[in-house]
Amino acid sequence: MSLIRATRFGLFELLRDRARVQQSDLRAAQERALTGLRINRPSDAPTALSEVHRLDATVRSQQVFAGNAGGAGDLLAVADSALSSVADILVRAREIAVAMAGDTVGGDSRAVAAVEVRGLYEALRDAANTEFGGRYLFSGTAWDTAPFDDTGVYQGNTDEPAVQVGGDHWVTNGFDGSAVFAGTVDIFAALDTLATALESDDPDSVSSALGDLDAGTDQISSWRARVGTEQVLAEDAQAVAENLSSILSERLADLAEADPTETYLEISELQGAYEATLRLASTSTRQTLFDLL
Amino acid sequence: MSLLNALDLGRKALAAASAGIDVTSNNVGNSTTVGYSRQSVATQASDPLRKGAVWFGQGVDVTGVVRSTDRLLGMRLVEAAGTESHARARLDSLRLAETWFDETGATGLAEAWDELFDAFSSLTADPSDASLRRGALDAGSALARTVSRTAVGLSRTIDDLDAGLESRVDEVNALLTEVAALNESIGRGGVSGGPADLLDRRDQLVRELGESVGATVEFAADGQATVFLGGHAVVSGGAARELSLSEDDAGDPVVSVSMGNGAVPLGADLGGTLGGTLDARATTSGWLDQLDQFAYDLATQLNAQHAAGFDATGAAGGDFFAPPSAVAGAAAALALDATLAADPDLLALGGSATGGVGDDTNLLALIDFRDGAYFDGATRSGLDLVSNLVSEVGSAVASAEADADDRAAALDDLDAMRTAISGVDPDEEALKLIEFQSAYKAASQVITAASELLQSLLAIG
Repeated sequence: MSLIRATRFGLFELLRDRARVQQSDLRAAQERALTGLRINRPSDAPTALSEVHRLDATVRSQQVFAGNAGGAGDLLAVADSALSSVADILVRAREIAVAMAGDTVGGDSRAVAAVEVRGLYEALRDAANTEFGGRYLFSGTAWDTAPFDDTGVYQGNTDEPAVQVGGDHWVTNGFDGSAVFAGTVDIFAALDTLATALESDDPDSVSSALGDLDAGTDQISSWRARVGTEQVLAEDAQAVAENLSSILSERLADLAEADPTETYLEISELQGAYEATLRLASTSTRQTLFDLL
Repeated sequence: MSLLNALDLGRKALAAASAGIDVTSNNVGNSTTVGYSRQSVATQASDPLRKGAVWFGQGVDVTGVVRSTDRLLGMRLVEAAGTESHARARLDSLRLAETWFDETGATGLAEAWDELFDAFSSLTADPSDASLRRGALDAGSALARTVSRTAVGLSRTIDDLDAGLESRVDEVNALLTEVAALNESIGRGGVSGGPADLLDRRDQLVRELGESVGATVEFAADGQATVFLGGHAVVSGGAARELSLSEDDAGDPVVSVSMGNGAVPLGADLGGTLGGTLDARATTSGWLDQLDQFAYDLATQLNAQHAAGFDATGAAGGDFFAPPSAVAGAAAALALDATLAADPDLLALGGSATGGVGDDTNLLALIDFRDGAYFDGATRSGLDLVSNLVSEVGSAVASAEADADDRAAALDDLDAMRTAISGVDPDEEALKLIEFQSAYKAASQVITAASELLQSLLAIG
């Protein structure tokens, strides 16, 4: 059996090497405690860092998408409100047309009704020119331009703006006013026709205006349904984005953040081991044979 | 046998004990000297003398002072010191480069990349919004600054690594010359292996050569050390070759060893601190190349897409980033186009001149850059490339750290073995001192006794 020759200085070397490793481990744990992060540089966890990047990018994107969806929801609510008022205008116009179509109605009454219909025409133009946050909702992508001028002629374009609410999901947040108000039926023209018929005291023309008014009401209902669908999409997208952001943020915290309890326990353990090494070093120097000579 | 002979035997014993005390004192004095090997006095019984039919011992002779060493272990130590220094230098240098990738803070490449495309996504809500347009330009500028800062930092690291190379080569040449000179001195010391202290000093320098350039060594039985580097004997006996530093066509440093009238590049054969530093330099340079290619692709392709759009005034788009002149240096020079930076209205988000303020046709195409395969020969997305680069940096440093720890542990083991064989232990030396003191006293007693007997004889006369 061969014995390894143990020297006092060999022990010092061993203690020095051990203390060096312990100091390094202790410093790393202290850094985690100070920053609150498990990963303080790419080399701390290269694979986990890629995951952290991916999650962080997704969380930030979802936050943007949630904001976009929220903003789109606000615009769509205003658009829905505008279309709702248009529907009310058409209902009132129809009531007037029905009331004024009879042979027993006098010219004065029709003249008064004509004034009201002209007022409805103005209200329709105001509704069609609804703006929110400096943006016209029915001008297509030309939302800095009022969609309809005083004569009811469309000034916007036919492109529908959309906002990104997901990686590959978009919500329409503005509409082509020419399709909404002057699509299959030109609602401006329908009201103008009714007003003209009333001003002309022409019951037959008043009666025949009912058809366009009914078709206009259907048209607006159809667009309200479209706006409603986009609203639902925006609300869903916002909920999904917020939910995803919340879940992924927790996962991100698990990956990137240091657990304080775990870290402090680790520091305590490492400090204990380091102190033990130092104590051993101090006892090793106490006495040699030279002291006894 | 005569009393005079007894006196002579006492003198030789006294000399041997005295030599033992000297060597022990030397051991104690050098107990913390780096590279010192404990020494011991070699003695042997003197040739006996025959008187008649009887052989009489003639005392003790001191034949030399020997070191406690293991030749094979010494060679392994030099090699292990070289690989450890290589790994440590590589780690230290890569750590310097890693500091430029602030990927865990708010100013990392991946973060800046995301911020630009998040800003583009926000713009889909209202492409005409002045603050959102300014936000997108600020994000573009931040990405350019981050890429540029990282590239400039990597270049600075490379410059820093280069700055120390010449002095290191000079140090190595000085070591080679010194080892050769010590070899010569040791050779003059005779066939017994030469003076122990010179051998230790020479071995320590050889180890330093291992640490500096990854040299290996072969110790001959006569105490001579032949030092090798990349298969070339750079120290042989009292002769040393010289290392030189030059640059290749790409401007990268090359360390060569002189051979006859020429010089042979050492390339991957170079180890130790110098080899580790050059290795890390090449790795860092590779990262810089990747960053340059990324910046070049980003600037040229995003510029092309931006130019395909129309700005808020209905004019065709211009450059988004200042156009790079070449791949090399593209990252350091990356910056937002100065004209665009001054006027957010020039951000070309529309698909036509008459698309209206909400026209985001080109904005959608720009957003597509976020995940689209526009980089690395149209095979990877920008974020993928950036993440991979950062991951590569992290993995390289982590792997270098593990390697350095492994090599250090292996070297520690060998050092522990060397200490077990060659280290000085105070207790052991104290015991030897007691032993030699006793021997010295005994020899003194012999001389005293012989002297008294001689005095008695003289008194008879």
